[in-house]
Amino acid sequence: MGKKPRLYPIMFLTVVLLSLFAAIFIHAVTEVKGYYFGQRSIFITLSISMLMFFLFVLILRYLFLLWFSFMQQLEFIGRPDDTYLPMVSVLVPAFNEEKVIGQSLLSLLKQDYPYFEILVVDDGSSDRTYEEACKFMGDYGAAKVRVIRQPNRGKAAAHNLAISVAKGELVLCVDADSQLAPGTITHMVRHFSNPGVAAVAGNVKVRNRVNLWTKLQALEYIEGLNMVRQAQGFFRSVNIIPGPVGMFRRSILLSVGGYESDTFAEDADLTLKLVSFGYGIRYEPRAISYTEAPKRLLDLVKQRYRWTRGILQSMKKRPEILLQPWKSLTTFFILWYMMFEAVLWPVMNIFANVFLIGMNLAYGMVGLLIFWFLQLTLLDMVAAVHCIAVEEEDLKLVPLALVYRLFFILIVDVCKVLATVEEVLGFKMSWGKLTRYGTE
Amino acid sequence: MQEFIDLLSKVIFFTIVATIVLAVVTYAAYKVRNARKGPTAAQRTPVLGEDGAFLEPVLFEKYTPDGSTKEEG
Repeated sequence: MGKKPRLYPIMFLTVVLLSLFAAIFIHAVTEVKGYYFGQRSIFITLSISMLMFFLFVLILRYLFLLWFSFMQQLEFIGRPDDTYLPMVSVLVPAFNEEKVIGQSLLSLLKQDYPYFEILVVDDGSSDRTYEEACKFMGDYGAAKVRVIRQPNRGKAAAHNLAISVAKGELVLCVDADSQLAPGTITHMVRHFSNPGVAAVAGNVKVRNRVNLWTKLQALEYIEGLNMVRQAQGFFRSVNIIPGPVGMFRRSILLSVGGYESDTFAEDADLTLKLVSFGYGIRYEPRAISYTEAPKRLLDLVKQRYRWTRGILQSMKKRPEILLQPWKSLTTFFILWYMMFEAVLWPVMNIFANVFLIGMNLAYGMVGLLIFWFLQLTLLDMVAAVHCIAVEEEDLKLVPLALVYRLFFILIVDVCKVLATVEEVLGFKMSWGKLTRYGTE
Repeated sequence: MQEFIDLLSKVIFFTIVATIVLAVVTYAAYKVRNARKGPTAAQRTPVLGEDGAFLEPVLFEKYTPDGSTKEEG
């Protein structure tokens, strides 16, 4: 990762695609100004103006994210790892994970860190998770494996139980289906040699790239989630430490009260809690966790529904951090950006789609429809090329950017908007456990 | 060129409509399935450590940190 010579052709391609995008944008603005404005109703004129403004904001978003993620990438290239090597406890909460827990523990035991323990908490599973985990119990030299059980109380309670009995100065929280890349613990620990660092977020990638859904999610993780996290890492203000890989200073977790179980996104909730106390959170792109993504559309919808409502619940608990820019301007902007991603952008995207369809049907405005998608698709291509190059990922994912915006993001956004409506109206919800297949 | 633009607009048009319908139908299917299934019954198992000892549920004391470990920048 981070080999400079490989970056040059990719940067060239990025510049070419951005130029093409700019040309289309200018052409679109000229077309709209010359043809559509003033000839239709005020509603249409206002809607088109709003969409154009939104597109402009989106371009700025991509430019900022690309720039700061690149800066963050430069920041760690060639930096030697520190000699700071405290004990690390790897916490693995598991509920009905019999198919994947073994593979996860094997990947953890392959870590090259000299001094760590693995602590599995079986959260009252009804399958053989506990028995499967117990097969790994014992002393492996550098690592020790412990397995404990609790009645089914949820992931947050399982995490808290593990934190309370952990022996490490640092705790690495992972999901039971996560498989860590070699060196993950070492790469994360080096950040904590700075006593001011409270937590470090890792880089999550999709492991089971077996069909269109999982491949599109692989692209989304690289382009949509990791690029954002990397840019936020530049400001030491990552807004979500992902469940599959996040390291914390144990003393700080204890001091803020650990995980809370009153939201459906305990990782987002904990991150916001740390942020609200003013702690710095870093990002480590080489700390990679391969996770199993939903293979079926129904499971994907279930997952996004939970994420959206969980994030909104976490933000609702701490509205003050959205209203106090004087406490930390960076945090303030990053949290409003989170709100933009969770609520505003999905609403605008669906509005744009419905509006453009309406204009097509009513007035035959095909130009707008094509311009809109051509530009967004080009933006996605640029971001995909950049992120895939930086992470040395599979180049075969780039062509998927062609259907990413039109198909995948639209489905996710419909789900986000419906989940937001339910959250606002206060509908009840349940956790919604995903089906695990245990793919390699 | 105009024919290509017309074709492209039709492809985009029908893809949007089909995608929105697919998303809403899947969402409805999820909600229906969820409603039928009801809340999952938690299995009550004893709380045991690796040595068989009883572990108490964890309730952390909450207090506001003094911020002495805050990172600059």
